[in-house]
Amino acid sequence: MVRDPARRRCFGPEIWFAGVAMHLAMLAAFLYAPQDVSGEAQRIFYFHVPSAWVAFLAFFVTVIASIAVLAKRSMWWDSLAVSSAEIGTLFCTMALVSGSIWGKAAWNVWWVWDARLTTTFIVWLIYASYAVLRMNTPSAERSARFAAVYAIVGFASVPLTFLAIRLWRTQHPPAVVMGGDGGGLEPKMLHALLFCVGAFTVLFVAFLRGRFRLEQLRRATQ
Amino acid sequence: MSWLSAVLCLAVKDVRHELRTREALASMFVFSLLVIVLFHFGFSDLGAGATAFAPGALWVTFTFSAMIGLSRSFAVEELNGCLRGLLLCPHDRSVVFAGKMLGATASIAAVSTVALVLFVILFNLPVLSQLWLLWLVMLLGVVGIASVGTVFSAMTTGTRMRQTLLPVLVLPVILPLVVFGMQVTARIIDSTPGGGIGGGMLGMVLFDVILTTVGMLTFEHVVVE
Repeated sequence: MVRDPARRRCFGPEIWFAGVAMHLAMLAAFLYAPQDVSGEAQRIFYFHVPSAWVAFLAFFVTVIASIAVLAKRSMWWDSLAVSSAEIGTLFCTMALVSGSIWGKAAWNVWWVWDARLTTTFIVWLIYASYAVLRMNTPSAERSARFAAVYAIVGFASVPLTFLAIRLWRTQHPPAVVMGGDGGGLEPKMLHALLFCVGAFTVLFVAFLRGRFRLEQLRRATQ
Repeated sequence: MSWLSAVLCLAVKDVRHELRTREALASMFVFSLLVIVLFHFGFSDLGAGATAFAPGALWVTFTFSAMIGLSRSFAVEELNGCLRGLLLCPHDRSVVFAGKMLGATASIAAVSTVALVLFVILFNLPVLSQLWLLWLVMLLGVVGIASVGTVFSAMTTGTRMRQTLLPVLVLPVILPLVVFGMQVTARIIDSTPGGGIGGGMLGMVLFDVILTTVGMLTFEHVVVE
């Protein structure tokens, strides 16, 4: 299947490992985990929570790589930052969309301006702006510096965003309550959730390595 | 020349330049009036009470007129290689950041003050006794917007689509500040005694301190040649 030499150079054996893990994750979510009282829609949680986890993990990697870009002036770290940011945006989109679908089933609304949802949305916006900044900065060296600064400044503002909305919302309590935290889950559901989180993390690592190598190849050709 | 006097020197230069050309001030002022008029037709004319939309309208006015001012902040330094001249000064780069930020704060605060007073008059807001408090909240907001905006303004002068890119970069980052600002403004206009004003203002101070520090630390990497 992997005949194209470039593709073979981008994806290593970890992509197969991730593929197997994701299939097992699907089995865990649909067969192993028992049905919740709220119905089948709850199963979206096994994809929603891991997606959100991977998104925030990816953004964290981006910030660490960005600090390294500024400290070491190395394009290696910049390749890591750009790869992780892109994958993080993808998983953040998945978390937002899957959460919205679940919200429609559970709360009968597509969206609530709750602190967690809104903060995730703002984080998504910050990384969308990050991508726009990269697109519009012509020189690679400049793009690395600017994007690193933006990632760090953006990261500093995220906890404050959460705090600001929290403060606002505690004054006006929302009509709905966030359901299904890890603590209240049945053991089998918790196993499935943890397994899915693990599988998604493996998928993240596989994507990150692939995207990173692609970025290195792209830079080598320029 | 000490750090502080160098900063003041740079800020005064920016203010003087602005007072002589009035390029940004004039467009910021007219723009904020237009926003107020639009809010009148969008909300007041349709029956919403002024106290309900005032916090939002005020902060949209402050934020967007600040974007106009900030987009000029480093663009003026591009002419005749002025930025290079500034960077060649025998001082730390933080002087350039602090001076530019202070200059931007002065012009944004000037326009926002006029907009605030006009807004209170035009919509008959019953807050004349609390105006100083509203002004203080506005100032806290302007400081944060100016510090984030100064870093990104220096950045966007080196990119394509600089004017469009600046608000795209600044707005998601200053969002907590604006949310805090709107919240406190709403409390002041509602004249809820004490409720959430202290907490919100503390949040704004926290934002200003953190983001100004981060801005100062990262600014050097933005302007390095």
